[in-house]
Amino acid sequence: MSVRSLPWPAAVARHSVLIVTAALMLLPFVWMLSLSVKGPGEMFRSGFALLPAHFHGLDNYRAALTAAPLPRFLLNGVLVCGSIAILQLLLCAPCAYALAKLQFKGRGALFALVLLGLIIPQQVLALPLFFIGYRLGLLDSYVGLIFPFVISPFGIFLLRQFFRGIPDDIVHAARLDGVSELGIVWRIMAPMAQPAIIAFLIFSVVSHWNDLFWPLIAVRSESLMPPALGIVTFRDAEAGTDYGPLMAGAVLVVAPLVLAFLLAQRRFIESLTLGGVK
Amino acid sequence: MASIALDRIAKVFTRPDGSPTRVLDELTLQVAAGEFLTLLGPSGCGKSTLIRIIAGLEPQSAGSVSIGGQCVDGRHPRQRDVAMVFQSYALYPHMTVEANLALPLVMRRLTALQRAPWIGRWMPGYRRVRETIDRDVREVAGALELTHLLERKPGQLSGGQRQRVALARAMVRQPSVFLMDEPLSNLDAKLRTQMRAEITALHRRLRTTFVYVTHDQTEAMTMSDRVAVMFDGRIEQIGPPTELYARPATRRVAEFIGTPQINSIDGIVRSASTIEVAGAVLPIGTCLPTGSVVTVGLRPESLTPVERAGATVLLGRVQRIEHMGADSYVYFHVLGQARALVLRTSAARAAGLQPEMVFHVATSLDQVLLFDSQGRAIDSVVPQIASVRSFR
Repeated sequence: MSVRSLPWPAAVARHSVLIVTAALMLLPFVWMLSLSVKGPGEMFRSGFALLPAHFHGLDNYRAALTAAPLPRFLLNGVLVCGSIAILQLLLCAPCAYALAKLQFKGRGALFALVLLGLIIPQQVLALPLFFIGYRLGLLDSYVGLIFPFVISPFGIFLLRQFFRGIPDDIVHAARLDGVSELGIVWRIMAPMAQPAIIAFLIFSVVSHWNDLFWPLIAVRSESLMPPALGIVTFRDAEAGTDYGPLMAGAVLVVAPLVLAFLLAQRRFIESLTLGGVK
Repeated sequence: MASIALDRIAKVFTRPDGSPTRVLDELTLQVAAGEFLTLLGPSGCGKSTLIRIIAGLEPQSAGSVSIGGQCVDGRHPRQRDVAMVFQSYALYPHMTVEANLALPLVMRRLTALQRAPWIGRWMPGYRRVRETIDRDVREVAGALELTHLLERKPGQLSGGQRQRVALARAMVRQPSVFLMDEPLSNLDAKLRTQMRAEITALHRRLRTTFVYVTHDQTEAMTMSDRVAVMFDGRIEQIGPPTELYARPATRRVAEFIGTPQINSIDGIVRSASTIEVAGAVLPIGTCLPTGSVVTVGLRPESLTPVERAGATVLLGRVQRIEHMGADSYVYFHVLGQARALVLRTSAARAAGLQPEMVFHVATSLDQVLLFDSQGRAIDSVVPQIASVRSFR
């Protein structure tokens, strides 16, 4: 792709629009960072300053890390999101392979169900899932946080689309070479679909790391709370109206994702645009 | 090495609109052990479907397949002891050449536990089996001159190298039958000629049964022991390449084999021993009644420009001339034929011809092919003395 050079007024106009929208997107984030290093008195002062007059960052971050079990929340987040991502992949890849490459009666109907699953929002299913969790005694446990997301219609759909692009001859060659059907999924299809799988894992981890809705329903014990929920209870219980430590906590919760993105930025963008397959 | 027997194989596909399409029609075929058989036909004639049925990649709608005297219907491809080379090569792009070659052996020789990721290599016996696999991979790679490419991935190879890796992957587990589905059609002309020779040499060395699918008559003619010409899901004729060329069973076979294509022109039986073609009366006898219309097939190389006129000589007007180097193709019109005929002659003989020039064309009568109105070959009787060969 070549970059067209624009006449300068158009270029200025375009960049102004981009800068303004980017600033709008970033403002809450910047505000969060700014508040996390300000003292309580300074926050509600009229007038706007990005940098604090007195640096309260150390106090705020110390409070965030000690007043609430924030490291525990982060660890819970890693455990829950990791389990969800791995289980989703383990189940989605074979389903996607079957829908993409195997011939059987009812394949079209099954795929229609997957698409249906794709358009049903999580909130609609919350009540039935809550009852299932209650009946099975899964609520208020790690399993309770994980089980509703183990099957991902989005994952099945994404991988199925990618698997369909892999030539049938490769599947045929693998069968002749003696690879079983599950072997084809894990030895042949999954490595070839690596960009799609990475993209899916990114979506999965990000959405469940930031998820507040289901943890709010499923978990009461503080020791099980994932980061987003932890922050919310932190506000109620410990910090009260003390926004400095709260914002510091928010920064710490968001930081892992942002850091991961910055470190692997190029890889992420490649995966999300699904380029460079061949 | 194993024989293959196909008994009344039929394949019916259902179109999206629900109507059935018959791709293979009661097809029966025997391939001897160690034979190189080519399935030749235009695209859509069912040859690829047939080879996939032999491999077990597609089930047949009716009929049965035997390999090595054993019925293999319903057996999984991996239990049939066949290997296949695909048109697209179908190499695993994420594996090195070495891993591509090793995979068929890994799947067969290692147990499921030994294949398991991470822990497999600590299972008892792993190292011993793995050594036999590495040895066989290196041997095959050496035979096909791939040793220096073992660490590369398929994406880093040229078309010809990929083709050789695909061949090596098929060879490495020494199957009893090789199936090849248009393996050379993605290569350029020069490489194709070279690979043709390599595959022929491979067959001679391995003495394994080869079934080779192609739409390219040159490949079929140059490599095979026998060729089966397929049209519309049936075998129209099967035989050694020379026989298919010299004695095609039908007009379609005659037109499919040979470059440039055979000239088919209408003729009328004038008597028990003569046929009139484009203004000339050829002394060819048939058993058809006088007045019957026949199709006369004239191979381009059986036509020769000559100096003198005569009863068996056609009068032609040159349309255009293609110089191929040693040979020239001369396209010309004859009386009463809308389509131009073509003859193949030496460049020296064609040198005197110019477009729009009128010239004489002699026919080698012993090479004339006759077909009835249904396109079936009919016997002809040619008097030996009248043969135009004596002109040369």
